[in-house]
Amino acid sequence: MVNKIQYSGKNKIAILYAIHIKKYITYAIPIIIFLLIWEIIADFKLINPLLFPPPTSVFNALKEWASTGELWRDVKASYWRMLFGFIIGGCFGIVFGMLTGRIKIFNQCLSPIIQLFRPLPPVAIIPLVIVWLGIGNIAKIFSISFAVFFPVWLNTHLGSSSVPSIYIWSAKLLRKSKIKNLFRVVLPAALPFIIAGLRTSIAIAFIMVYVSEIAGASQGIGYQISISHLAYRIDKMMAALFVLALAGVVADMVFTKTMKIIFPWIKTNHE
Amino acid sequence: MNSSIIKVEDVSVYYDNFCALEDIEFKCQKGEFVVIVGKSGVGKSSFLNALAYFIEYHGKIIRPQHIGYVFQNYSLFPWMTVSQNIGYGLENINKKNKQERINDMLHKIDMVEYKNRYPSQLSGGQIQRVALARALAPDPDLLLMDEPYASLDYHTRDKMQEWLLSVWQNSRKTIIFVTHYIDEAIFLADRILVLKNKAFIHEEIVPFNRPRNNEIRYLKEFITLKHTILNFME
Repeated sequence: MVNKIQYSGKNKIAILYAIHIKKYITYAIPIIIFLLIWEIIADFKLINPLLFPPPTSVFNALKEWASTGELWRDVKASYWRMLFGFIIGGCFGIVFGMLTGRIKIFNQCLSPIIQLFRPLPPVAIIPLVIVWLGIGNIAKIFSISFAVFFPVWLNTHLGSSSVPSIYIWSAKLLRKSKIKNLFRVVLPAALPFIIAGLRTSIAIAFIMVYVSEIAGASQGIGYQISISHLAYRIDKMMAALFVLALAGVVADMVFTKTMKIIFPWIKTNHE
Repeated sequence: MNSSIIKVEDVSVYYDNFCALEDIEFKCQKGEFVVIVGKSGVGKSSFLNALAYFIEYHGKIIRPQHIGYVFQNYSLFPWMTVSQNIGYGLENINKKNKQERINDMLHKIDMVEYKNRYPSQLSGGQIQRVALARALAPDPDLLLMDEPYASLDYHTRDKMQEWLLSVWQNSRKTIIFVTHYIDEAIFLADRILVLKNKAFIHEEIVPFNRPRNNEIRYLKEFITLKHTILNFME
């Protein structure tokens, strides 16, 4: 005889809770081991502690940075630049990608120009942008938008030009309006590609935030890394690098979760 | 006398240098259920795609303006719910009538409780039911069906065929149905055309009365007809 285990509501919650805790522990263990090894190496002075401060010193530098209120100010400044640049570059990338992906004449006219600029490393334009626009926020946002544009354009172009003909045919039979079919069928069909492009661009946007801030700024995480370097404060520099990495992870997580909520039909295997 | 709703004269279809169909002739009466059979790759889908004006062809095709199409592969829009998929083709009608039409179709396909689900949350049979409802919702004059049940298991396919007949019985739409299953063709059709060597080589009028049920599949006439068609297909 087979005994079936019946789970009550409370038991079910407890099991789910246990699964979640197990997942977090699995994530945390390698990080804890990494920090311990780092602390031991630094404490035993295996490497010069001035060049390689222990995690406790980095944490103290982080506390010091936070206590003055500058941490929040710098994070906010970097996030705003990143967000504006990301939105502007992303929107242009999507619009141009849809045009070149779906309309032959736009593809023939625009793609060669875009392809000419695409291999250019985005950081290479910063000196020119400084000459044109100075070192203010407009210049930084322009540089970030420029870098974000290309991966979003390429993914949107590929996504919109490779929409399965079965969807296009169905849409043509069901609705006569080309504009409606473009927005209700082609755009959603290309969305997995567009989202992949936007997600790639988040990391690129953070690179550009960092580079544009070290090129001239009075606020921001990149600025903190730059002045810590000048002051030879390796602990603060590492704290700022940690905050920059964390800011990138948070931005990626927020983006992924938001996409999941707005577009629940998109299946993602990797988060 | 019934007039032809579809007239196909000397139609050929080429893919680059490959000829898929050559000088095809075809006629179909209003309300007729025609099934086209043939082995894989003989050009059955090309014929339907030419009828739908999806692909380029040489020759003359006259058919109603307003058609519905059910594809072999799942063609529902994954980003729309069942209700949204069914309602997508309902243009130029007010919101209330549109909702009524969607509800009516949901009842017909017996999927009211699934109206807010996405296609990825449905089974293969349910997806094809919604695909048929979407094609029928705008009330087309002609319905083209390209092996809609090919990817379904044996039992689901049988059920879907019975269900399709019951839907057709009520709507009496003109249907051109493509399949490579001869049983399916005999069970559904008024008339069967065998496609081979780029053209229709044989025509059979199915002698069974309607409404039909699954028992006819065991009749001697059914089996004899199946063998006859099979011989033409080979």
